[in-house]
Amino acid sequence: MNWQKLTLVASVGGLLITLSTWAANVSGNRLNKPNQPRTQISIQQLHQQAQAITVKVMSQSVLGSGILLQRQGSAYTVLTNAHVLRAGSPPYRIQTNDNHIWSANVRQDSLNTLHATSLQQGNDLALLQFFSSGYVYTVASLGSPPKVGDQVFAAGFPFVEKGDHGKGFVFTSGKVSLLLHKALEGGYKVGHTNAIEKGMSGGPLLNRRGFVVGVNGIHAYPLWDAPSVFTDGSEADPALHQQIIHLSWAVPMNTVRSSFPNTLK
Amino acid sequence: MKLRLFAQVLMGVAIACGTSLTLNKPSYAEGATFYCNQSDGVPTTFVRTQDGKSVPIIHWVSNYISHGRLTPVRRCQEVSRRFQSNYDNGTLKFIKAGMLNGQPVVCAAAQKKAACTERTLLFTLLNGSDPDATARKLFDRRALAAGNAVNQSGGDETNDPVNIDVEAYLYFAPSVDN
Repeated sequence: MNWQKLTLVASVGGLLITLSTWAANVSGNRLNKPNQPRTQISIQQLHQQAQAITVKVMSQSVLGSGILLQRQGSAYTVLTNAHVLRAGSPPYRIQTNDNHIWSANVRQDSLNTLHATSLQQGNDLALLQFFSSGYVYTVASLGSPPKVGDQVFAAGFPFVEKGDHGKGFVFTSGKVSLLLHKALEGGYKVGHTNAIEKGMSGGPLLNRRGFVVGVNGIHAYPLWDAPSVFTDGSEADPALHQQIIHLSWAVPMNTVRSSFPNTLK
Repeated sequence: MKLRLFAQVLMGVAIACGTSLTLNKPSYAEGATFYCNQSDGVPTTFVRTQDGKSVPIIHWVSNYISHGRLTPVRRCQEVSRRFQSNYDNGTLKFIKAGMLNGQPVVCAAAQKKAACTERTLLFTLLNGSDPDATARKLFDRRALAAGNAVNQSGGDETNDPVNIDVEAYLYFAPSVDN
């Protein structure tokens, strides 16, 4: 009798374990998963990719971060936020991940974004250019718009007060929590759970494949409370405002493309 | 006896859980504190938010020896106090540039169109400086994640003592301390 009971318990237990494993595989649209796991870059490779394409933007001191967007010969285009450049005055410099420091200037097609006195007049984006005298750097691959729930990664250089050294390169993981139909002032539409710190503005938001899907610029928990304002001048209602202030925000890559049509196809 | 001990332990656990639950969800938007402190030897206006983070917002730098009343330290203390009172009064939402008594000023505003007043004044700028750019940089600091605190110098562009005296008037008016 005891043997029978034991066998029954073992069978049921085994069945439950099998079922739960199968259920875990089924979730996330993996019903048609082939026997071989689909090749996907590892998180470590993603981290390396992010580190290769993320730069420091500086003038006298560190202003924030930027993304290596494009290479034409030895001319590199760096994407960052307009407010990063507003935080200091020219001449600007770029520090690449090999610790080289390059003298950089604002690209002609980006000058109008800086002259706007308020974010409402333009997107919070700016382009810099530097010449690398032969050094070759990886540039970003651009990805398609992320969806709510997608895992996304943020990279950049948080700023610390003591000395001018900073924390070094930071790479975080999170997910897209909210996508706005109407952008916040500056073009911000992608709300995510990565902890953006001061200094990480202008850095990339990457998807699981290592493609850049946005530029980070807003951290969660503003220093003091002010309304969330959309590009059309209207304000978010209290419920939405509460959601907004608990998230970090990025300008989506589509907005970057439409802001600089001559640079990006 | 055993039951009593058990009940005490249970209560202790309950208190601990309750405390950690409360701590995990700070209502961060209330209770920002503005204060002046040194940062690398520079008097700096900081804001401490409810979740315990202290963020520098203005470095009060000075490249010359001040003969006026307003040393960077005093300026830092006075302006930090003004940030705090505007925050407490609910007038610190936006930061804008304006004119007050003929001087370019940076002030707090509950609405974008609100005028600058003695109460909403945060600090004065020298004639010829760009108040819009300074106000913009300061408001940027609220939620945007660039690295730098705003550097604000108290008169190193000119040695003209008249400017310092005017600033002193604006801070300590109407009964000027000697």
